Amino acid sequence: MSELSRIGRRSTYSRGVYCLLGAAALLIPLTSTGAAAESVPADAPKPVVIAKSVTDDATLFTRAAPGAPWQTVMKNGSLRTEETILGLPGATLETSKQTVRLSLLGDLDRNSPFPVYEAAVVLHESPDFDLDFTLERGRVSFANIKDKGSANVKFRFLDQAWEATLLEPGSKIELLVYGRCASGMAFKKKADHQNVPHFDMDLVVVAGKVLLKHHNGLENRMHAPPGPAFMDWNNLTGGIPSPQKLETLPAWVAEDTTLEHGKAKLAQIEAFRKAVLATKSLDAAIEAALKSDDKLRQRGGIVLLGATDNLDKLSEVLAKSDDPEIWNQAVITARHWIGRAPGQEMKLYQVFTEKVKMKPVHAETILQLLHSFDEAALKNPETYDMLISYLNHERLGIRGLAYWHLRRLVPEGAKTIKYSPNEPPDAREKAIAEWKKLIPSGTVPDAPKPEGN
Amino acid sequence: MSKTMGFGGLLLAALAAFSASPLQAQQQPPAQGQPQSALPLYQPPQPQPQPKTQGTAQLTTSPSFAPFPQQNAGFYNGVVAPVGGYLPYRDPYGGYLTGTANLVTASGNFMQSVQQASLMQEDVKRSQIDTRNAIIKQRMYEDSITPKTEDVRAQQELNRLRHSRSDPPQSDIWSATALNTLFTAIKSAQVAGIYGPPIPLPEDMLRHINLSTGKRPANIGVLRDGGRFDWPLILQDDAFKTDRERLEVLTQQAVNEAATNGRVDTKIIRELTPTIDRMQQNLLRMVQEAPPNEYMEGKKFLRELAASYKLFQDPDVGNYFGKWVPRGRTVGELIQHMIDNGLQFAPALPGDETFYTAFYNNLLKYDTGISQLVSRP
Repeated sequence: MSELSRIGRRSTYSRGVYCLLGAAALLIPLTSTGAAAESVPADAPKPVVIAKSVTDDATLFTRAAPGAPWQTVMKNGSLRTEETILGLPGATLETSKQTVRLSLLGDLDRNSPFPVYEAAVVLHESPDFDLDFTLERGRVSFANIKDKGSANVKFRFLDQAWEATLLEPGSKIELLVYGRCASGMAFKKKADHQNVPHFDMDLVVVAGKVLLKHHNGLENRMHAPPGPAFMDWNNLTGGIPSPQKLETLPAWVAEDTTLEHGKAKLAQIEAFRKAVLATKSLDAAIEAALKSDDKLRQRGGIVLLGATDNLDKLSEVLAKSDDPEIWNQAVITARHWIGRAPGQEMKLYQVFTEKVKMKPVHAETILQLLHSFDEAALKNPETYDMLISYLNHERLGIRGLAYWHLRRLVPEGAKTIKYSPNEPPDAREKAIAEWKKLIPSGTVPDAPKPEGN
Repeated sequence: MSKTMGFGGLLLAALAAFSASPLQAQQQPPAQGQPQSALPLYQPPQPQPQPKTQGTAQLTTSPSFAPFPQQNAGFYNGVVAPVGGYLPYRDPYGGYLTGTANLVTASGNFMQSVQQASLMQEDVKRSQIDTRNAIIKQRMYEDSITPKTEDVRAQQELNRLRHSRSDPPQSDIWSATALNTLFTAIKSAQVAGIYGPPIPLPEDMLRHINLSTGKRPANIGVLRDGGRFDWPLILQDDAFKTDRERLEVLTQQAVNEAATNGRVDTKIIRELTPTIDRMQQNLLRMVQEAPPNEYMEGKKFLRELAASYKLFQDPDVGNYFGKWVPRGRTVGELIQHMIDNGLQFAPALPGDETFYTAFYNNLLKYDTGISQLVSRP
């Protein structure tokens, strides 16, 4: 698939969740529900105030270190370096010298090239730059708000550090990063430089003119469409090193939510923001969402767990929930979470084994099943034999994941064979027998037909 | 037509005969001294209005000299009869001649119409011929641009060959698909006596290349070490110890008999199957406690082993351990050996993958060498 064809590609994930993702990002003092706060290294730079929030109360949230409680940022509240900043869609900060404005965006219309959820950044102190930040995940935009002259911005992601000179006032860039575990990737307990998530970055010059400097020193002049306005990068091939021409701005760069379902989510997010302010407790707000009668709110609660790194609760849902819709959302959230960056899988594995007290082999099985199968595995009869065998696994989470895969790989079977991971063993045996009849041992089912054919 | 012409001719003759005022011609003043005729001297009629065609003579209508309604325009196709009658006044002779003239005119028109109709008919026939010609030409054109089945097959082969030459995915190499595609292309050259460069084939690489006749889906490679197996991790578990050791003994016996006698004792074959079935059942019982990848690897190994044991029932089983074993010091020699014995590449077994990738590169070099010698796609 060409890189340009990814622009405007729609996510396949349920839309209803994403709005709440944005809400998830925003949440208030989060007690570290499970993971202890990581201690900040002694030689780490001291945080300094470098920017302020310019949007409403409780649109931005900060955390001093992974696992530490989230702090709500009020309007005009200070933002410090080396702290993770999460934002509601549209949450904006300005540098203290009022040179650059950075907006944390969502994807409420669900038309981004990648199914991004919350946006999270970390600011850094750099005297040579008007703004220096790391984009950990999601979609942001940054603009030159000076009266005259250029603004220098350094932006980092994964192991990259790029520089953008916004050449004139009003010049603006939109940036998106997304990571995921590739199909066929094996879960390994030991770090392996070849076994890392695939990471993509897309950059669009939305307005004005920009001088872009890559991590390797290559420089490109770019400007808003029509013209060389698009750049992408990935950690496998490096992407195409020169800008690509766009005739017009792609729909996904719009910061405003334009579609009806997006606007509905925006309304929910605003309601959630107010609820957070009212309760002054992120945990309470998430709990309320998880216990809501509204399935959409419940699913939003699951997404919030991932956004706020609440792995204890997330893994509990994966291991024990008997609500298929909630459980399905937990799977999607977990897949997003482990794809964020290298090392995420191992963190989840540790939660499974240490907090949920799962057997290591079961934790390993769940993590492996959180990955998709690659083409070679799909041609292997043993893949289907194993999935069918797992339908009767003692662990609900593994039964559910196995069925989740079979539903996608053999949709015809899922339509005709009634199976639920929650059913008693004898009912499951009957369904398993039907699956074995549909896919005899040593055989591979036909590939699912494309929808509409 | 000739009758019409004949009739028309008569009418014309009659008209000519009476071209002058006939009564005037007949009523010359008497010659001098001759008695005056009894007939009154003809007085030429007063000037009459010029005859005008008030309408065309329609062949389908029957002529009638009855006075016509004067004001019924519709009756005359929109022509309103003048006051005083449809036809100007004539004397009977004039009327007769006028009628004759009209008839001649109508006849002429009729003949013209007939000719025109004939011409039109010819045009139609010509158009039909042109249409048929166009259809034939179109069919010939479509036939000329429609690829034949053999052409389609050849093009598909060419596409597969290009794919196999252009950095194919590892799965294609390990499944032997890419190797066999290259082999087919190289074979056609070697059969014609064209050989590639001498590319050495290391012994350890050769040992890890699997060949088959293509008749059975089994891979003899799993038995190439004569019963010494590289058991997957999960099958090294103590739960499989007894069956594992028994299989190794039985397989060694079977391979020795096949290589020596060209056949395997039925008692050995009968014990192999239940032993491997037992291992598969034990493995299935471990599914919940085994890491997924290890489980799949073990299951795949047992499946391939079971399939290869079926070869022991093959009447040609001796060849698998004799003349069908991969041999050759160079790529070219291996290819020739395969051509001579009707063999093809079989998929890589676990542990063969790295060797297959390296061998693919050697095979590609050999193929490129042949391409440089000849001009071929």
